Amino acid sequence: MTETTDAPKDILANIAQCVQTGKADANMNIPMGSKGQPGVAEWVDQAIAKDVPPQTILAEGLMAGLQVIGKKFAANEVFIPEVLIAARAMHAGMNKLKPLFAEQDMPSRGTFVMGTVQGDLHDIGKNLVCMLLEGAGWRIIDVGVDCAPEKLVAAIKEHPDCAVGLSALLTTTMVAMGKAVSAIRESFPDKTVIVGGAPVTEEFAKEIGASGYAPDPSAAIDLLDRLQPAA
Amino acid sequence: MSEILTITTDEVVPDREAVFEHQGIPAGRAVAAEIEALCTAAMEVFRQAAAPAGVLAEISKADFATLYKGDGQNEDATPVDEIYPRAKHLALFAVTVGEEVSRRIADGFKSKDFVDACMLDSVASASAERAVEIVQQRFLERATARSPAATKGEHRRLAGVPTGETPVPQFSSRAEKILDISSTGGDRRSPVDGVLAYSPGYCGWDISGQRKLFEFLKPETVGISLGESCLMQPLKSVSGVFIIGPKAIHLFDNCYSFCGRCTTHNCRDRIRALDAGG
Ligand code: B12
Ligand code: SF4
Repeated sequence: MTETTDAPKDILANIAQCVQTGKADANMNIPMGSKGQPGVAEWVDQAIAKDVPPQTILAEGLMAGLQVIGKKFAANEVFIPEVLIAARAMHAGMNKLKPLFAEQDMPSRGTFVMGTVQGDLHDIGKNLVCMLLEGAGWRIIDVGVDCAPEKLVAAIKEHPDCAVGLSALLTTTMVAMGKAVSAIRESFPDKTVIVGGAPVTEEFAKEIGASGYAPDPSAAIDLLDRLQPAA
Repeated sequence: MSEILTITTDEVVPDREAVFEHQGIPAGRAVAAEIEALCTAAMEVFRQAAAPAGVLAEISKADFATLYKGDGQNEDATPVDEIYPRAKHLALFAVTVGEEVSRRIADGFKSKDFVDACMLDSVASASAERAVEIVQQRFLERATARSPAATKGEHRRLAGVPTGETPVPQFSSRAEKILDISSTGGDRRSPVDGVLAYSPGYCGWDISGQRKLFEFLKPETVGISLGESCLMQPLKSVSGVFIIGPKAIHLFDNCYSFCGRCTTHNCRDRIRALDAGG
């Protein structure tokens, strides 16, 4: 933990550090033996009390912490559980910040509509992608598993500026992925649609007319940055 | 005729290492105490929720030949094409850890409890794989008790590389090693049979093969159903064929047309495990 003064920059550094270690709040015993020590929730409270703007707490505390974990994940230094524990800690902070943002002002990188395609019930890959994109600032609309193309198109109509993600885990449901992309393209020819899942490849993504493929959530974040740069 | 198998939860509780592997943690890597604790908690939930079940049906080579063709969507040449004609026993199987586990995983995700839900998911996946190992071992023991092990001559013949192909040196030396026929003198072990499972959706056996497998095996009797996209429910289920024969029949080089796209090359580990005694 950063040697603490109560200067805002130290508080932000502590928030980022607690996100990385997964220390959501004082009650949590992660890392082991840390029960009673302040976690993300308490540091965020302190930052709010010091009038640090919520936007700064989000960007320089919470998201900065998760970004470090995302990079370590991509470099095989940490693995799925550490990422999930960090994301949970980040959420503890987000929950404190939410009331400070009026719904419209909650800063967001954009809206991401995500679903597993028709005939496929797998959701763990989809969930992980959603969670990490949320950590990267995207507002997530999770349309669930076994999504008929109509369901996806309806969700896009509701969020016309969104980017879309489709997941499939079986070669059979990759066919449904192709159909979903075609249906989306009919109504939204220029929509950013990215695809992923164990059997999906870059080549297949091109074949079905998707905008891009990413093998994992970190790559999905980069891909979306390229396809739909932040305004 | 399919046989309903009794599988207990205790039997299918997976090793921690297998769970961590599903969490993407490389084997042998130190795991932090809090992650160990998460795994212990997930194992406990799993014990409460699991309802393992399985079904097995022996099948003749002739029937399997028809079944394996499926709807004609397999790759042109596959490992199973080469292996099953040299087998001594074949049996179709399907196992599951039950619906309740998947329900708890889904509930966890819905309530945003990603950490625990994801760990439970890994426990359940590793457990489904463990269930396959349990059933396969039982089948091996039963089948080998029924019929004597093949003679060395038979093993040598059965282990031969497919006719018409030039023996691959690496293949031959590995076959010799497994058959223990290249060593000189001493008290030679008699060659033993080995079993491996092969599943639709892997190594050139198209996943549409699930349909014919289900027609023959009828896993619905233990609550495993097949959807239109060949997805089984409960999700944590595995199906396939057990192939018993001299260990060396399971040896093959991973140079099929589809191996270039394979991300796991898992066949190498499976062959190694068989080699080590499995
Ligand atoms: C664990 C596992 C199982 C477990 C659990 C299955 C489950 N998912 O619940 C068990 C052992 C039960 C199992 C069973 C089967 N399996 Co399986 N299984 C796997 C394995 C090893 C990992 C899947 C997994 O859970 N990964 C973890 C999650 C987090 O990863 P993920 O879903 O891929 O998501 C990540 C990325 O893909 C990406 N991503 C995912 N979606 C999206 C979307 C977007 C937009 C983006 C950008 C990224 C992205 O980000 C995620 C996080 O990194 C894969 C092989 C592999 N290495 O992937 C095979 C695999 C999925 N299985 C396969 C098969 C064939 C089967 C069976 C049909 C075998 C059989 N005959 O029994 C059954 C089917 C089960 C059923 N219900 O019908 C095949 C599917 C391919 C195919 N031929 O269709 C695979 C790919 C193995 C292979 N052949 O290479 N399986
Ligand atoms: S390399 Fe992959 S696809 Fe090829 S046989 Fe081995 S496991 Fe199967």
